[in-house]
Amino acid sequence: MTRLVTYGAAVSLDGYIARPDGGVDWLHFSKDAQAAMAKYWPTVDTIVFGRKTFEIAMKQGSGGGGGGADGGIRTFVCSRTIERLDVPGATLVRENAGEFVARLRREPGKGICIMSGGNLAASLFAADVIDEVGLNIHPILLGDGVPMFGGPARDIKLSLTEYRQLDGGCVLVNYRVLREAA
Amino acid sequence: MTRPRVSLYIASSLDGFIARPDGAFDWLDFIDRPGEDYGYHAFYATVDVLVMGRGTYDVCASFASWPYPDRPSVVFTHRTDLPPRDGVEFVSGDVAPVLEQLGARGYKRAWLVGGGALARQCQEEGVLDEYIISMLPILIGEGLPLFPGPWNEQKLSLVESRAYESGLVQGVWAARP
Repeated sequence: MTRLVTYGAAVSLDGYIARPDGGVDWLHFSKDAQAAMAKYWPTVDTIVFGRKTFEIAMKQGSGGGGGGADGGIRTFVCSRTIERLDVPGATLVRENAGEFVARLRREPGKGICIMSGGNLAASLFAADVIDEVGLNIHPILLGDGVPMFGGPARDIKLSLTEYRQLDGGCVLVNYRVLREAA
Repeated sequence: MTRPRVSLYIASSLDGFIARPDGAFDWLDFIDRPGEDYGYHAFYATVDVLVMGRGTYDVCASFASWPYPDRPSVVFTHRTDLPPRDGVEFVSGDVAPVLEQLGARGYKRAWLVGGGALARQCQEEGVLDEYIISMLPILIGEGLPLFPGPWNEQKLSLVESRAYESGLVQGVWAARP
């Protein structure tokens, strides 16, 4: 058994998780969405950030050292560009992110949450280390921004495990990644 | 205001592509279920006229027979040398004036077939009223984007949505004024 790796995000109908400048002012914070997150967080003990997402999360005061609500969460930040990270409780990962997460998910522990944009997600999909994909689809076209998905150029088939409408015209969907039978 | 209501009705991969880079739709087979048309015929019955761009027209024209023989189609293209086809009208320029003409002919609802450039033009002209999107449970990684950005920002209202047994999730979003 490996640990469950989930990649989830609030996303515009046209597939962006943030404006070009990282802005998420368009997000609808409903009780519904908060309840879904409150149910999810206890299943996780590790967050793997993309570097840009981490910087945005830090600015919003929700990055590093456990995301505020949960103590004891291990935080990793993947980057191929920065050489050091001076954030207490956060560890810089400079090696290949796919190999890193592949190793991480074989270690004992709870679920692993990926918080990133399409770049890191593409590497992790390519390494086949993502088990679940979740979207909270917001009723807006942003027109431009940071995409949730960025490849790779191969088919990844999914199985819908959860679907419901949330407050504010949002649609929550969760999928399990279907792998060829080993 | 007499123009028809314009609905984009289309299937997309979860990562927002409507076709592979070479235009292939083979990945749609993933949600093929006997007897399930995902509401297509019910939708088609409400459509008075089809509106499409050249790319979509070329795809439709490549089929053994024209797929929409019982509805008039309007194709936006700058080409003037396309061979005529029964029920198909070639037009160019802005979409809004063409829609006004279609409204004057009594058409109430237009299906914007295909996404991409024409959908973007409609959105920019403020004449794209409704997005009916069927999201397939598959990532294909690359291809023709449903929303080739950058677009204008637009707030939408979720009108309805439902999930099918195959994992396809269909939503109807209306443009907010």
